[in-house]
Amino acid sequence: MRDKHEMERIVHTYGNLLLRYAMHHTVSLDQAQDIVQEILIRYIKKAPEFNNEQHERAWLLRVASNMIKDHRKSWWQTHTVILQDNLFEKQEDSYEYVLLPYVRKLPTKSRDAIFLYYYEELSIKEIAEIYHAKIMTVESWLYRGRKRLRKMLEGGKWNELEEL
Amino acid sequence: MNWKNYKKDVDYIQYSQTNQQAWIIAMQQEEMQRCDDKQRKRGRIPVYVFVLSIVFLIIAITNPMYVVDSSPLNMKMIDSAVFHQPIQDNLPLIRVGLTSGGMGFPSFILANHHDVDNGNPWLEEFSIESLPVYKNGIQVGPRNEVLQGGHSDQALQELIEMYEKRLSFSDHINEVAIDSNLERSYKEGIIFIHRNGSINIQIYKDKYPIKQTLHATTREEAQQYSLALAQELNNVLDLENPAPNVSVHYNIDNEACWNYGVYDKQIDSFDDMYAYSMKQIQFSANDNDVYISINSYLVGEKMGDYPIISLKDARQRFIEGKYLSLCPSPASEMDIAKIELIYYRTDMSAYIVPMYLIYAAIDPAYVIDNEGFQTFGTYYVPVIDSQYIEFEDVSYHKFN
Repeated sequence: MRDKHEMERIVHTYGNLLLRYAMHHTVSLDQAQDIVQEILIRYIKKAPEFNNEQHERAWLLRVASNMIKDHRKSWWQTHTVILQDNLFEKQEDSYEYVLLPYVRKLPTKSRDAIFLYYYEELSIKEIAEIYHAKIMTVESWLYRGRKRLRKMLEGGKWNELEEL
Repeated sequence: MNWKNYKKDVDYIQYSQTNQQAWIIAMQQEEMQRCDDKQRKRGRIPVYVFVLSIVFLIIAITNPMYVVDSSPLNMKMIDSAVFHQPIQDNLPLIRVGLTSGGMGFPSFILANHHDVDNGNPWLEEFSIESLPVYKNGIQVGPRNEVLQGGHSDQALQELIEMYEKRLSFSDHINEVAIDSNLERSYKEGIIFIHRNGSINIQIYKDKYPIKQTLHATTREEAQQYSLALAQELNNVLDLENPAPNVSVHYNIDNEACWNYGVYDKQIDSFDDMYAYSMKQIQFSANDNDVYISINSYLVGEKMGDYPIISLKDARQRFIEGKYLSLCPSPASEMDIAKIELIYYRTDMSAYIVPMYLIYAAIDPAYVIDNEGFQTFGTYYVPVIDSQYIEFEDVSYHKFN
């Protein structure tokens, strides 16, 4: 039986990773938190024996990816239109997001690849294993993602970011 | 492109304390549901358990001294429902004692408390009301003479031939019966079968190449190497789900040396604990040879499911001096590195009995000062309620 320490370990080790991953795909913070909860419940229900932490992380990311895919197909998602992405709207005393709102606008796979490559610093090979994709496929996700970001941030905005 | 800004953005996203609590509560509820479902399934007795119970009953009637199917092809099935069995009336008294196999007392030199970590899957949180006690499948006297039980001659032959076949060793070049155990030598190595159920295999690396080496420098490496070697030798070990069982000790130069091993992990928590206790496989190696020790208890008839004391009560008993140990008294400051639940037996024990094994610092008056290291002893508090226990004197197995 898994004890509380084990559950705390899982939350401590992977909580932020999963929340940050979910935040690349959801329309609200609450949704992202709910998805993380579902992923952790799935872990308790179904997690196999892991060889190491990398194996465990890869499993969780796969589950997260599948869960977000299912979530996108759900009735709520297909029947709800978000009028405006207020998720990162500047509020008082809060942090001003610079690049994340643009990354969220990328196609799903590019979004994931950029998060895992630039933020989590996984190798392309590791990302390919998580998504059961070829290395060249992951490279093309990254390439297309960067290209689209450049286009979105063309001109002054791009240069501004370079200087920051 | 400068990704620093992206990283700053993502860094800002963090879960809160409220999130953590909510997630842990949800996981705990799921875990409880999962355990309840398992318990419901466990209540149903599978047909094969019923059939095997009849078989064992017939064997018990024809051979009342012990119920050990000494043929290696028919392993004793352990009913995983035993941990929640109702406690019977008239449970027999269990004789409990410790025996020493040699000189000195069993102690551990530790650099820190985590050094006693091993692969034991038992957790304090397990919900256990009772535990089975078994008759020991073998009993030997103080001069290693077999008093009762143990593998028969035929079983020894069958076992050695089984491992010979698994290893694909060539025809043996020598066979010796030593103290009623059986040893065969081959050009590829040696197989030694103990009458108590344990098996030692020595493999000559130049005749039987083994890829995996055992030169770990960290616990993680030791675990990985143990698993890799178990995988490489799985045709010999025949484990369904090997899990690492690794610990550390320090040599005379205070260098960490890893003890490599595995056991066959089970899905059910209680079966898992049981599998860990009853059969462990240890590996060691030098430049020329690889050694495999398969330490497997021969389990006799079940005496019953006995009510157990809590860990809290066990700690209290330890503090009050109510324990069994071959070690000098613990330090008065009570420095406990670890408590784990194990099944205890030696070849001289009458029973295989669950014990809380406490690793506690020994009174400094009895140990040599070893800068940066502490010496810990092992202290046993029987898990089963003391009303069912008859204590033997601590005895010493003659060493000659």
